[in-house]
Amino acid sequence: MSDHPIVEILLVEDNPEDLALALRALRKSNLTNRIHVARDGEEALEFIFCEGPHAERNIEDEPKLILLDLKLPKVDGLEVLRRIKADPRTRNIPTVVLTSSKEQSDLVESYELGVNSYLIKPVNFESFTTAVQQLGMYWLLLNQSPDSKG
Amino acid sequence: MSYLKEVINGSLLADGLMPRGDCYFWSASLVWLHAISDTLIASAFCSMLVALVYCIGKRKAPSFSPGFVWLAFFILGCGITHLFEVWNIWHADYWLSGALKGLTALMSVPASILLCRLVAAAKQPAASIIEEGRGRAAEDLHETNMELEKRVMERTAQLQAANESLLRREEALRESEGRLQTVVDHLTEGLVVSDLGGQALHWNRASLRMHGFESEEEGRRKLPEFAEMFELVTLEGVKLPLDQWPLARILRGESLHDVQFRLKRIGSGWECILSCSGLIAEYVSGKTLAFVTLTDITEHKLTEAALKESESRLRTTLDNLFEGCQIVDSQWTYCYVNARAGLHGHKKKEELLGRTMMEVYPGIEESEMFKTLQVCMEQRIPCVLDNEFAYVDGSNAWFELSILPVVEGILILSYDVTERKKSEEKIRLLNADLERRVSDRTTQLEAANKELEAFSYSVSHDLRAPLRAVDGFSVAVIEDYGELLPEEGRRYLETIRKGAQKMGRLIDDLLAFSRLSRAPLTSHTVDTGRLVQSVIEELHAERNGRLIDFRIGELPPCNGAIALLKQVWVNLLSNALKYSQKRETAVIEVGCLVSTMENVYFVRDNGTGFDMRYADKLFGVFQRLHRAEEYEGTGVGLAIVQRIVHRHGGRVWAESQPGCGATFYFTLSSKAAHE
Repeated sequence: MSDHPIVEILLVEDNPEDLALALRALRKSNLTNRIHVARDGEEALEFIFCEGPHAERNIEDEPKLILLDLKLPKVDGLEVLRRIKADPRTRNIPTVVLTSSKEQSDLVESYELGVNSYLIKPVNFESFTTAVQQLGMYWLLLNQSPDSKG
Repeated sequence: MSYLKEVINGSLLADGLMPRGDCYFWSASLVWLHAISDTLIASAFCSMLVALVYCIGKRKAPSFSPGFVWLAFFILGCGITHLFEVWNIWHADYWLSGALKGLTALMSVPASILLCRLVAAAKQPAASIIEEGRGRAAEDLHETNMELEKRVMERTAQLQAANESLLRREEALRESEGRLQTVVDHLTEGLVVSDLGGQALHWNRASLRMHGFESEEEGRRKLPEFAEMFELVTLEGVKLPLDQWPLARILRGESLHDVQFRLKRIGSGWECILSCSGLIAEYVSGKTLAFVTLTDITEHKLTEAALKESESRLRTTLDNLFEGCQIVDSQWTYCYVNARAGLHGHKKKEELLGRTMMEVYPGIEESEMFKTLQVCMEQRIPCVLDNEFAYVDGSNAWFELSILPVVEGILILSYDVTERKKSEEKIRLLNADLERRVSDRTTQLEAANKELEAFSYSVSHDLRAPLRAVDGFSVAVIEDYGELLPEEGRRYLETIRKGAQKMGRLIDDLLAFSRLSRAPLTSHTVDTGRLVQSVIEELHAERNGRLIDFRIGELPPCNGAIALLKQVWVNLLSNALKYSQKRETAVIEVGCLVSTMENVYFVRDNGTGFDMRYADKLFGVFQRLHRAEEYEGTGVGLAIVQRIVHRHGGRVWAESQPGCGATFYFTLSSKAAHE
């Protein structure tokens, strides 16, 4: 019905270096096939809720995993998370916060909003790669979500 | 008989006439017959005369008339003629006898007329009259006798009664006198009685006591003699001359009342104050004496003096009191005002005394203060209040008022507390200012804190991102282009990575450290033994397979925030592990020294130790005593330990010698743990 390929991972990241490293780590884990990148909170919400440039997209073709940075231009990560978890259509999408912030308040608020995981980006790239690989492995392959189609 | 004849012859024959005896021939029997008969007749006439006179006198007959005199004389004449018959037997006085007979005959005429009249007047026969007269006489006699007897008895009874009454009166008099004497003797007033010459006659006991006399005899003197023993001084201290002494004045006729003086006994300290009254008074039938009464008023005067002194002292005290003092009577009139009270009201005493509060301060009855005064006045309960007093000139003052009910009305003590009130106001303003400044400062601090939070948030996010890029792209270069690089180039890239990673750790530690001051401190009792055990287990990885000899002593519980205390133990124990890594067998000792108020925990290792000269640097942030190549670390661990311990109110210090290991101590309150 749609030309849009099914997206497996929505990566929301504004920092180009971090984005490049994240993609490199995902690539190493062979998880780069169907990644959509949003560079700010607004873009992420448009994609998720099929608005604006993504109005054509079917909302039911939800990504299997959202990797969300917290500090984002326009709409910040926590607001994006709140909107995802507040809407019944998107509530079940596994959403993982991937951030530099070690702030307790961010952690607490994220969990209160219903985040599925909270991962702090390590400085050490090897550690980062390992974390991303494990994350992808878990949420895309091992985890069973209620609406996963087989 | 012949002798008789001769005697008579010789002596009685005078003029030659013969005595009648001669006619009888001196026949004794005939002589005596005539003599005796005539004598008897004469006697009978005399008796009749007597009876007649008695009857007339006794009966007081209304029919009495001069006729009865003639009758009496007639009867007398009859008697006398018979007597002369007897006389003429022996004497021959016939002329005389005849004269007497003639006289009697003359008197017989009116007597006969009288008798004829009496007989004519008498209606009753003569016998009945006689009988009646006899009966009445007898009756009269009896009556008279009875009456006499009765009167005699009455008189006797009267005499007896009078006698008894006299006896009784005498007794009563004696009793009364005795009673009077007792009363006089026991009077508290003294009584002295003197004659008009100034000689003291009687003293009662009280008067003796007032003069210091032992007995009445001592006091029986004349007035001038007293002057040798006593001197009298007026209460004002003027010595009285003798003629001004009360007794002297009384004797001159003055009536004295309550003359007060001091009586001093010369030559001794004895004295008393007396009040004297007195006068001259009649005492029995015209006799006059001087009566002096005395009252000992020494006690009274002393009390009065003491009272006066005490009153004067009180008044002086009140007058000079630092508090204002005013007494207002039940009509709200000022009865007493001291100088200070005048000052407090900006009024003169004279402006207040005798005037009412309403007159002095118009409208005062509307004030709150006046209501309090009314409460005290009506309910008789003391009240206290602070009152602001506004003066006419616009200034004002504060007074602390103590209001007490007193006999006259109420007593108001006012104490000027204006200065205190001003100070209080100043303090209040200062406090308000201080509070405002604290509030400002708090706001500033809060703002600073927020800034700090924003800063650390930025650090957390933004400082680490470039580091990740440095590290991540270094890895990418090595992975993608490593073969193109010489060995040295690859090593440099590794160094770049290490630097970036280290900086990452520094940032992490710094953030952790700064978070410590912001985290709220919630205290609970912490089981230190279990806590230490769990930390040792967690640090297992850091042992790197080394053999560690943990010696854990008794660790009493303490009071604190468990997460923070865990950090302390983690930091201290991992330090101990780190600095003892070069020992073949590391010995790490953990224990506690218990004192009353706090627990002193310690961690001791047998590691490298440090030089005590640098001990003050141990707990500073980023301060290190070892080179990084020797021992890894950022120099934040002990700073965190110190901050946590300080936040718990404890102290932390370390003891060491280079090469001999180190001991780190910290104290925590044991109070809550003991409770």
